Amino acid sequence: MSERALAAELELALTGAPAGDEARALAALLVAAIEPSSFEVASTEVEAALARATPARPHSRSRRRLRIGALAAAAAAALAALFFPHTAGQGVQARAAVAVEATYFVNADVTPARPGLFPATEVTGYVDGRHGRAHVDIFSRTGKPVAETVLRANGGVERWLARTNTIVVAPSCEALPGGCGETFDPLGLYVRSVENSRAKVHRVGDEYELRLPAGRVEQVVHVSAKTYLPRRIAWLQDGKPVATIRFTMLQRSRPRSEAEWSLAPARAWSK
Amino acid sequence: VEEGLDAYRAFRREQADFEALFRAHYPEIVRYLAARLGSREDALDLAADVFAEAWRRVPGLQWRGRPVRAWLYRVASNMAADEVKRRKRTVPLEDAAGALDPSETAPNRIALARALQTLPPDHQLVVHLRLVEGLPFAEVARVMNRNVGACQMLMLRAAKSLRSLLAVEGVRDV
Repeated sequence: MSERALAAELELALTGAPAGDEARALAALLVAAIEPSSFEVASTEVEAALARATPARPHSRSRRRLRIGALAAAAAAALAALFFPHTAGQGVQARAAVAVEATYFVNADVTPARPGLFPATEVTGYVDGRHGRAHVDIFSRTGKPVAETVLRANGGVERWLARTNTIVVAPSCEALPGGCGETFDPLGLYVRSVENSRAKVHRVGDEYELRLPAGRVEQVVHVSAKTYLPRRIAWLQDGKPVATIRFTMLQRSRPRSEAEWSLAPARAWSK
Repeated sequence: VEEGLDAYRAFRREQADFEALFRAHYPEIVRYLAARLGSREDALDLAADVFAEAWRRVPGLQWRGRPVRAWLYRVASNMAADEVKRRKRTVPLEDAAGALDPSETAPNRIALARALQTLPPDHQLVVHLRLVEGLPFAEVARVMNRNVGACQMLMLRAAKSLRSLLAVEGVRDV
């Protein structure tokens, strides 16, 4: 019997299912071995330990006031923008566009080019490049929820802001009161870039660097030369760096249910 | 690697609520450390250190697709390893091995518990997560950052190692 088959049989034996002699003998050995550590820790004991831990804790960190509603949404939009190319030009640019025409689970760090320019955030969620949908959470780097944004295939936008605990729903980005242009401009910016301008492409090691100019702002996108998926983006304004978006996770995902393309802050954050 | 917005939010919830994190995972960390160290009292002490470290560092963790529990086990494992090294330097081997109370435990069971403590940390962890905590292999794999098949193979190797160690000790029946 192969080791892998024996491992599977051992699991059967551990669950009480019929198994061969060797698997049953090994299971019995394991069960006997864990006996000393299979004890309960009473809830009173847990609470006492928690109480003892309390005085040792450092004081609560100062709560930075987050002024990042629009900025956080911009980060989300930037992420979405990357995934919604309307045209698939040619060569590397086309491959990069095709590569993201699927549903991805994304985790990205958004960092200002200079400290204090805006608070750093982390953007996480699903992006459906084929249908132009996104559902992302935005957190501060201190782990506080900042916003949740849903971008629908029809262009509709829903946004929950943690600071005010309010939800804004709009048929389009342009219909959002105040800040819409600012918050979702990166999407328009990117779309205009891929539709109307040709990316300058350079090979840099195992990556391609795509420079997508649009007026004063330029997106410098580094994509893997193997997968054509983005690794990081730098935003430059008038040639000066403004922000960096670094993808720490970019996994192709199974198609998500309709419910997963809906805003759900109450479900997610209410305790 | 764990995927999903729900998993991400679960990570963030645990990260934001230390007391909930403590209540959810303190007992299993105590049990894990007890197995590693062979002493419940030592486990309680070290678990306090693990959660003191958690208080300092969990709020700053970046999500990399794994639950906070995986981080807790990694810290606990490292601290247990340090403690075992410290004991080897400072405590005579016979005393260290005698952490279990012989009056309450059959000699062969003591030999088995000692054998378990000598297994590599990842072997001990897979045995603990699957058998003591009763996690399904899919969850064990998430905590250990391995695939399910690899975890099943670890379990098999752990069992075979135990058998070999007991054979060396001349123990046949546990």
